[in-house]
Amino acid sequence: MREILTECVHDAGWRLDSVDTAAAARSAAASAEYNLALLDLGLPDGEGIELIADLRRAGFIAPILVISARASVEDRVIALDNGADDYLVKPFSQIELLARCRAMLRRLESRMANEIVVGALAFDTRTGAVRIAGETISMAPRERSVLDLLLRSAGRVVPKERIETALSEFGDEISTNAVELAISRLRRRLANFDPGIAFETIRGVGYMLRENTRDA
Amino acid sequence: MPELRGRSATLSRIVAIRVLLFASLAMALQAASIFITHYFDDQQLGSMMVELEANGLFRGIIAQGDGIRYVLPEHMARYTRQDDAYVTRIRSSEGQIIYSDCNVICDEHLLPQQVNPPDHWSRLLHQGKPISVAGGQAFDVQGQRIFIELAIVNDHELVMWQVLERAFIDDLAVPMTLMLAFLLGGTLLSLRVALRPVERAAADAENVDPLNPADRLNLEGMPREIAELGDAVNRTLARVYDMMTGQRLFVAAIAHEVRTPLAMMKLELSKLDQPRARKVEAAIDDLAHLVGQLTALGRLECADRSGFSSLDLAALGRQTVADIAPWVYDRQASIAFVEHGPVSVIGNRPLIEDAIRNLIENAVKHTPKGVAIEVSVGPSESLTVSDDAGLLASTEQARPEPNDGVGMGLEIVRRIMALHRGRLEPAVRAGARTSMRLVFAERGAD
Repeated sequence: MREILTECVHDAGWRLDSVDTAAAARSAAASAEYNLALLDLGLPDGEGIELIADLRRAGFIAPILVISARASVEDRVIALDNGADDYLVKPFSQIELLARCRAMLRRLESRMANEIVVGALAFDTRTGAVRIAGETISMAPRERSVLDLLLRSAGRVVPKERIETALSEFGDEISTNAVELAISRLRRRLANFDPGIAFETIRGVGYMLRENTRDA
Repeated sequence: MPELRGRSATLSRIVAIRVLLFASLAMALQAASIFITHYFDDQQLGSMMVELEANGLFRGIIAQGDGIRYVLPEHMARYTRQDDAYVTRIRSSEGQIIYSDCNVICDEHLLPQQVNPPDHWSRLLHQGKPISVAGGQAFDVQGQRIFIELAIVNDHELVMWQVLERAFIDDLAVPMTLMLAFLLGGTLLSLRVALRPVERAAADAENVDPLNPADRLNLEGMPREIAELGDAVNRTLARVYDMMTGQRLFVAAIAHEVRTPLAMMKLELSKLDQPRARKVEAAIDDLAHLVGQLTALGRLECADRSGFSSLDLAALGRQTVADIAPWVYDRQASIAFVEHGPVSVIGNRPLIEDAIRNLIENAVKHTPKGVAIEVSVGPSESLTVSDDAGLLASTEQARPEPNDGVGMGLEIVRRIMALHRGRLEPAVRAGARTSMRLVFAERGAD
């Protein structure tokens, strides 16, 4: 499995250090800086979950993508609670593996570059500037705040309460449909620019910003 | 348990019936013994007949001032002049006759009037049955001696049998009834006290978790014989624990041993740019899904209630919808959540989340694109996953038969609900929303 994974990652044009024990992983994490770690939970000399917790305690900050045969929700929750950033259940395709790796690397790069890019939309987290295909889009502060929140959690659902909290920071008393209004304005504002993103309403839960799939 | 209650008798009932049975047998033997002792001893029987009759006649004596009056008791009506078979003479120590129905029999069989008789005397008039006897008994009335003498020449009113009946009552019925009451009461009380730890253990057994080695039947205070049975049950539970632990390891191992080579095959196949490779990839996905379902079933076989806690079902449903929404929208479906009121249930969070996910995944996988799914909670202890695929006439054929992957997925949900003492209520009708309702046991139903 390790050899095939190594080959997949090399094919994507990335460099990879591969080890086959928990002890070797601890030693590698301590001796070099990595952008991403892929970890198979089935290790010959210990539990992968313990290794993640140890690495986090030791100050290892790179994202960790767990690869596991254990498919239950409980196993996923345990891994994520112990410091993993994502969880991929076997079997998976090379495309899915690399897409997950890219997403994690992109988040890391965005964090470092202070820019979040989803679809054709780029958001500068320091200035709040929004650009689509190089063109700057003007936006009201409330819309920008909601967009910032949704972009930071792109591909995940943001509870409505969190958006309300973000809007309430502007001081004014917010109306019961303030969130709906803000999302509606955002949709209208971006409608003419083909941003390659969609604002999905998860009724009774919240909103989700996600990259448009062309075959949708 | 209710079936068992209706079918089998309680130990107290069994013991009570047996005690009564053996007591009846003992009473029958005692009755036979009393009969033999009295019936074949004519002398004693005669004496007892005199005593019984004298006591009966004595009830007619009425003290009036210094004098004594006599009224023959109704049940002693045989002592009148019309009946020669029974004669009596009641007199004082001074020789005064108080009552008499004497005829020639008195002169023949009673003591002369000049003689002061002993306190009790009797004499058989002839041997054998029916008993003929003469005798008398002395009584004290207001400091005066009263002699009641009588003779039974022909016992046509069966005084002998009355004597025997009295003997049965005095020697058998009264002492045996008292003894039986104490014996039965004491036995039942002892049983109740002795069985209290057993009743407690039976109640505890309902909630014993075989996967918790510390959770076993409490044998303290049990009678030794029942404690041995309890000990055997505990040993069986320990074996069940070993089996279930082994099965857990087996399930984990199977998952790893099968999924890892599948992952390797899929990674290798993804490098091939051929339509056939995609078909094999799809087959691998199906196989992986099947392995997932089988391992989930295996995990459920050894699941227990030790991890149960109080859960906010609405919060759990909302969180699950939030977690799975990206996957749902990636497949061109949509999802919403509706809360009809706060609902709290006792359960295992990951398992309930698994059940909800299973239902949502089924709704997405087995309906056409664009299906709208709704997860609703309440108002009672229930959660419903419904979709609008059934409302679209052209999609009726899209709902799969229950013997494919959906069947196993629903079986997993059913088992999860059974573990929660709840149930799955499916409702699939053409032209209506398809709904799968998870109904939980009410709080406190345990």
